[in-house]
Amino acid sequence: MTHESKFGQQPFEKVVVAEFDLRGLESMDHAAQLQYQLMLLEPVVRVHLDFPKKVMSIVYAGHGEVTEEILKHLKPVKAVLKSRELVDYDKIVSESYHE
Amino acid sequence: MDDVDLKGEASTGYGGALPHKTKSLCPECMKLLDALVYGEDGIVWIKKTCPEHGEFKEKYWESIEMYERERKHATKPTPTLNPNVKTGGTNCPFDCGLCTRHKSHTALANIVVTNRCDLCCWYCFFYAKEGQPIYEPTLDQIRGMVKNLRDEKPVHCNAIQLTGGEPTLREDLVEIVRICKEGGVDHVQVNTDGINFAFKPELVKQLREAGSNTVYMSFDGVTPQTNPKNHWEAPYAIENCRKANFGIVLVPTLIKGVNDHELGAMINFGLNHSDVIRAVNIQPVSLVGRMPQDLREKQRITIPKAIEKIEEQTNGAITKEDFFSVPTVGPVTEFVEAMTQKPSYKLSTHFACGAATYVIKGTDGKVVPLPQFVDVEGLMEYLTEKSEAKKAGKNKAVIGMQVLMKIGKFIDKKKQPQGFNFTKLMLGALVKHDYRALGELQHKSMLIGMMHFQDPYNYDVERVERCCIHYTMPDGRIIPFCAFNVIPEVYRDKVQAQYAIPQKEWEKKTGRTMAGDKYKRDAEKLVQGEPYKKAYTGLKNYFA
Repeated sequence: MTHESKFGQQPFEKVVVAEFDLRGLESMDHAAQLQYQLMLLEPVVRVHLDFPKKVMSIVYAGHGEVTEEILKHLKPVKAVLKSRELVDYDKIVSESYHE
Repeated sequence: MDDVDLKGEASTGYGGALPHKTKSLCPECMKLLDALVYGEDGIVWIKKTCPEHGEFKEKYWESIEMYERERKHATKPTPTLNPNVKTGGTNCPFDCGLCTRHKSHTALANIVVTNRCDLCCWYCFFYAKEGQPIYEPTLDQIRGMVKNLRDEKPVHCNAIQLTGGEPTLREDLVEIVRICKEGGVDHVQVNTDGINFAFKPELVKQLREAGSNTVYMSFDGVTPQTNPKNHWEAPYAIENCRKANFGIVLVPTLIKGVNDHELGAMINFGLNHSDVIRAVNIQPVSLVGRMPQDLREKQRITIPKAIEKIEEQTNGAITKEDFFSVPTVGPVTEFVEAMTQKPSYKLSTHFACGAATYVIKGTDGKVVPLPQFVDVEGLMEYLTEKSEAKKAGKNKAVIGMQVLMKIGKFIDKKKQPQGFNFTKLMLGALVKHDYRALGELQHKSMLIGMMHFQDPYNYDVERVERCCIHYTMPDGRIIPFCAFNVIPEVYRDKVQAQYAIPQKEWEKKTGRTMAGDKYKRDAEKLVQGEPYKKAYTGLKNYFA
């Protein structure tokens, strides 16, 4: 536990919020399976693969090496980075808390 | 069953006829798969094929007849209006939650207050073993989780279960109950193995005084063989709860060939202590973890089979026809909502998830299941009709008067137990919207409930998306029971690991040890005690 916030102690102070365009995603079930596999990665906090839009939204703790690991897990699906920013983890939590 | 049924012959959509198409998981790799729910040899099965791990065929419900009756009680969804995640649920059950796809509000929320336990049951995955991190949300985090549940729209969560691990190991549990109550929650129950309830009467009193309503106590049978977990301690816990006026729900986890022969005896035990035992809530075992087919076949029991065994073991006093699936009561809440114009608590759970009946003990000592003197189907149809009339603009007072005049027609007064007035209770709830009436029903009867939580073998995504028993987490998400516990690697275990502290750090912080938490039994001494003798000897047999 590293960070005190208005939601009590939180495990992260900052997290990366990134969005990728995906190429080679086969179906809804394929998207769900990849999402499950990515969720198993320890640094991944939240992830959603949108099959109709062919987009992945991901929240993770860590830096460049994590991105590499994520991309490796997606293979043979190719991911092209659309956006990436460092945000307060509180922001992610507050969205779930109906704030 | 030919796979052609997966390509178009089978029904789709909740409540559809058999064969029915749904989604499930591969128990080996968790791949989301097309699945077929179908009838064969009187049993309902679920079948799916993973391209990598082959076919899985599993018992879904052990009665086609009962499935066909209960699917007609499927109710409308009650989706959340302010989801906790923005995923839309397209990758359900990996998108929780709650999301806009979810179809039931939180009827009962679990808050895990610790993963420590005073027992070491070999089959349990819920507690920290020696050396593993300790998860104990802070009071501030718990306050936030309670607020989050209360902020749910359109229906605020009004019932919380404090669970674990063993929640009574937290020294601030009474404070946690107070936090729930201060947050506006009416119903707070403590899920426990009963050990501390047996030996800490002062704690029992304090929990009750803080506003906790119910003790949800594990109780797997009436003999040491079937209930090695707390056979010796349960009588002491019951006695302490009796003194504190603290209602108990007995919770047997039902395993075929282990304790299913004691269903009748457990109900009879509850009836003998019905001054304090309000319900027996049976949970057919959820076979989590990888398990070979022969072992699954040996242990698997489903709701219809459990009900069949209750009929046998109560000598027909409680019959199969006395049980209804949970959403059967949907028309009651629909009616209340139509009359009050306010969103009302609904049990829009999947019909295959749970079933229940009430048994009433008359002043003459006879036990009668409620459906033996109340025409449940008729009453529900009538309430649906009246809800529709109200929605169509008919006068509220006129409808109230009609219900007042008609309700007695659904009750066979000759069969109604002595000293019990169902008409009065229902009118209190339906016309006056006085829910103390339902509380009175709880005190004059005993609920026999069933809740079959899923496992990867019988997993049905249609069930999880209708789940109304959820877990709340300190990261703000609220997760359906059968996502949280069946896919723990992405929900329960993952998030608890994020928020946990190393065991050594916890020991340093508290000055305690994990080994010090563990309970050591003195069975010889316990069997000599008065509460033990009072609990198990000289019981009346209500089903003789």
